[in-house]
Amino acid sequence: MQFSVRWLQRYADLDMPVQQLLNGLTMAGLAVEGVIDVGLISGKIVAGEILDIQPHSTAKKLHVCSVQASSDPAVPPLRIVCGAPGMKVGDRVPVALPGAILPGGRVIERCDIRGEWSEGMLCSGAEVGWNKDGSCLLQLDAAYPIGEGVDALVDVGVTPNRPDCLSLLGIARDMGAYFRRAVHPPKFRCIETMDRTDDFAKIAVEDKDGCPRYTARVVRNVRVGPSPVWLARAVEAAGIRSINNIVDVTNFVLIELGHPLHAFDLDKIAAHTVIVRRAREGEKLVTLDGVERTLTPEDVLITDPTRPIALAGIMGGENSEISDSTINVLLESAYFDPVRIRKTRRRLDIQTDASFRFERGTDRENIHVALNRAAQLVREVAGGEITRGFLDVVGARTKPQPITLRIQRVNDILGADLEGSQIADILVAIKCEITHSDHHQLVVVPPSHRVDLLREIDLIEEIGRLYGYERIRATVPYLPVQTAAENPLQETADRIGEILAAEGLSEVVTYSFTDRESLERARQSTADAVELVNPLSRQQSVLRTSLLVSFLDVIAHNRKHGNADLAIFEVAKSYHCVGSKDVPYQERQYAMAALAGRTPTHWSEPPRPWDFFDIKGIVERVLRRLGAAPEFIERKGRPDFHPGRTACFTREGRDLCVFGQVNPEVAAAWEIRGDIFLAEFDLEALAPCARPRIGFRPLGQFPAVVRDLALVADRNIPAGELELTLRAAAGDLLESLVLFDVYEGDKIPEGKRSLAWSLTLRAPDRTLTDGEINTLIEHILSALAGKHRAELRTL
Amino acid sequence: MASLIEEIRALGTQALADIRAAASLEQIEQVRVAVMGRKSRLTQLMRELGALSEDERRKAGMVLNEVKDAVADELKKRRAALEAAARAREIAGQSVDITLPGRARLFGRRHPLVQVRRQIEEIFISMGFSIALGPEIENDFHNFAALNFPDEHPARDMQDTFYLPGGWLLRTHTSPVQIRAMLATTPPLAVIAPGRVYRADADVTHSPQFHQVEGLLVDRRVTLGDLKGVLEAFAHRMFGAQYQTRFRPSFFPFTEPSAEMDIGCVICSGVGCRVCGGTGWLEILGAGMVHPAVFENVGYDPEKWTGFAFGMGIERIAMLKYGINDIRLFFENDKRFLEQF
Repeated sequence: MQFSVRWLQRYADLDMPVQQLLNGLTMAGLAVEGVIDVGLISGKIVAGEILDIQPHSTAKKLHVCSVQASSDPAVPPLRIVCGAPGMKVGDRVPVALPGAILPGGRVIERCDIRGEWSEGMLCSGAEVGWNKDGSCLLQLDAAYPIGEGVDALVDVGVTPNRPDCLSLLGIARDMGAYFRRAVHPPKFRCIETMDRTDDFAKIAVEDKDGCPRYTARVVRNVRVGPSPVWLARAVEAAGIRSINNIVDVTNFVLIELGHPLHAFDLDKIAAHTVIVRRAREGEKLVTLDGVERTLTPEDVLITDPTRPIALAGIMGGENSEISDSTINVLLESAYFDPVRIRKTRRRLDIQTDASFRFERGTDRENIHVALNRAAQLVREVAGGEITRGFLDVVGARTKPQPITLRIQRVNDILGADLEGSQIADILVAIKCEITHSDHHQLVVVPPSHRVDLLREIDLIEEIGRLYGYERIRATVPYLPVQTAAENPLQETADRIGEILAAEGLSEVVTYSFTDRESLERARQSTADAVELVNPLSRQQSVLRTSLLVSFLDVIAHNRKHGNADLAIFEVAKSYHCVGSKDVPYQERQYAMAALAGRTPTHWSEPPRPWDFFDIKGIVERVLRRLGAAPEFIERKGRPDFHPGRTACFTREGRDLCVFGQVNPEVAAAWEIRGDIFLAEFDLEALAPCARPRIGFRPLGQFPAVVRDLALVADRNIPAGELELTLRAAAGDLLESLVLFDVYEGDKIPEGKRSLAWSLTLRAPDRTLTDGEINTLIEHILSALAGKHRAELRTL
Repeated sequence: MASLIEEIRALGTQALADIRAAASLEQIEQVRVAVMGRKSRLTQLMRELGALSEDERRKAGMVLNEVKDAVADELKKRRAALEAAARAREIAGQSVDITLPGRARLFGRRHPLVQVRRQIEEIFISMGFSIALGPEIENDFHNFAALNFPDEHPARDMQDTFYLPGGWLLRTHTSPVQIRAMLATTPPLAVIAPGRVYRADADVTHSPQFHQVEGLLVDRRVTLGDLKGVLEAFAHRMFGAQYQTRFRPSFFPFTEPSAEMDIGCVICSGVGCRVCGGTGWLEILGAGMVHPAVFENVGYDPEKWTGFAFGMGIERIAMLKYGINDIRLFFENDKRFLEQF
């Protein structure tokens, strides 16, 4: 809500430095979101009057003006060069003095303009930020005193619970309460003719739920035309475009009192009869913005006996619009059901100043005040006669209900020590009526404009707000001692993140969104992908079923920026439709790690591309440190992985981690050249191992014996199988087993490969003898020979 | 006999001279073999001693041993000296270019959002809060209705919601975890709930996906003063005690009274700059006393229990803490960005 400070000051005694007012607004809960200073704060843009206009000596289109810009008549006028068309002696306009900074950031200085000295600048509405009009100087009315800072336009954020602050009077009331200053609602008199209003117009309300109250007035013989300067400036100060004197009056009353009004051309209403009813299914209306709207019975519709003429509470219809030829005006001031207005405007996707207020709730008891104010202003600015009385169709009336407020409860919630009288003072300041009070409680009737005050806690908030949060003492509570429930999944997620970072991988955080095409290109499942009903873009229209798509995006993005070498991980979720009725969606927790490009560069050894065994090493260390020692490793066939370079560690029949190389076809789909190695940890499968039991094993006291064995076997026999046989044959004496060489080449027969292990043997209770060891080695060799035809390599 | 002893002494003198003259470890080894080896004159003499009379043998033996000890001693000393010299030469040749870069090893980092999340968690855990979690795919009840957002209420416009088929939605805040925590347990409770949230909004300061940390304390006699105390302590530990805090009235359907907490601008220290819009203050979180309607919705008696709740955006805190000006950087994961934290 944007408003003018000078206008605000007409409704409450708020003659204080603007900064103090701004601070008050913020601390009362009306957060100041922007200020356009038209000189009221800086004093550098003042109202000035053009006293004389002379031609510029060298430039045809420029003039040299003499401008009175001081309240002291003894101060000589300023000499200002100006090229604005249409200016004339006597105009009151904004004068930017040297040192002024205009809203766009332009700094005004004394300067020479093509040979003529200029001591400032005369400004258009666009230049000072008042309106969008840069074609001529901004005309000011006499309410802007010569020589004083013009105004400040303040934008405050009004929270949805405070529709009463969507008007000048509302903000004035709140600031009056905050600063304890007097508030002055507008005083006016509606001068009527002797003609009875109901001779000129009739109202019927059929949809009483949608429209609990409808009032109307008739103003006859108006002259539609441009608004007077004061009115145009007043609506523009609130950010509304000036249209004509009648429409501007309805908008002005909206800003002033907060109640939306509508003006109809009475002569375009058939039979001069307004009927408020539900729209019929499929009924059509062209609204003021030129759009044809298709309606449903949900909508409250303003009609005449022949056709719809306005969409209630949202926007008028073109067919009954005020035009230059309008002579008789019907002014409408009504109360519409907030929920109905909201449903309609959401369905039609239109938001207007009127619907914004109606859906938040307006002051239902005072809609006739706004009506009378509008009629009086129409007469003032457009002439015409106001007929006698207003039409008023009232359904059920609602009075604000009394609320019991316990003094102890106020202090319990706020942590304050307020007396009943202090509380009462605050409530009176916001125009509540106190119908009863004793030592323990007050009975409070809120004013009708405070639609948010319904229960005790609402009043307690008001007391806290106006007492001042800053006056409430900060205290430190004793927190209830409780043991957090164990969450193995979360613990696993936290630990795996730490382990992967310790492995040298950097963490990424990616979007949960993707699109179907990306999932398909990454060869991920799309059948269970969760689709958004209202995505922001096609690229973010479904939830990912795998983190891989996000990783490919990250790798592609980094390649584009010259970072081909990446070692990254993320701990995050994938999302799936599972079809069950109660729980249709499932979130699965994964950790994903990826290596792309090459090992870190160092002068001592050339970098090399990452390979399968880099990712496998990471996986092995992560699982070991998590305490989730895998039982088996097996090949894994997955469309998104390389067929020959993919494996999976399993435990108790569950996949703990699938790892290997991303299918080069998938990488190519992201235009990534070079191999990508990936590990996908299933955190739900790992969670049961999250808290490994560590049992200490005593350190061996007897010496260990190390023997190296190089074995030649068929190259197709997996090393893991040989190792299994070796371990089984070696038994408990084998303390550790390290494979230290793999060789294929001309030193051994074709089709064979040599694998060399280093065995550390140790007994817990004795020193092993040579004889014992030799027997064991013989046993191992014969097992390997028997099962795999592996033989000791001879050089 | 006298000539034997003389010979021994002469041999000794010669041996010592040879030892001292040896210039390398090889030479000293040659000298050792020559004077002490099995074929040396000294060893030969040792063997010949047997042929002497006992008295003579004793006398000559004493001299011989004396000489042998002296030679062995000298050998040891000379060898040690030569070895030291050799090591010194070796060490002198081992100098490296200390300005060459150290060997690279990958250095892993947590994402800045995770780092900040963990800092926030640690601060609240140290105060006695524990962590609660909830799903990202939520229903209307947990995300809105139970939090006192009436159906068709304008308050729902405060959060642009992504909807999923079947009336489900992506949670717009971590507040549904409040509801889940309260439904799962009886008061008192003190929890924080970090997590991913979604809103249909995207620009320099808004991302359709971001992260929040929610907090909830429910106990007997929790006050607005307690809320101020806890959150001021948080802000001071997160940003430093030099920054002031202030609480402004605000509105959230699920708290009343509601507040927003500002801290003195970390960029301009309160003077006024572009980041704080010239106000000198930065909003960092929303908070308030749990609305009695929320307690009623989860079956807590609002007459018996009071509490406060708060919520903050991790991105916002991280942007202020590190001076990051574009929220999208967090999700682009450019290596050059990630490596700064």
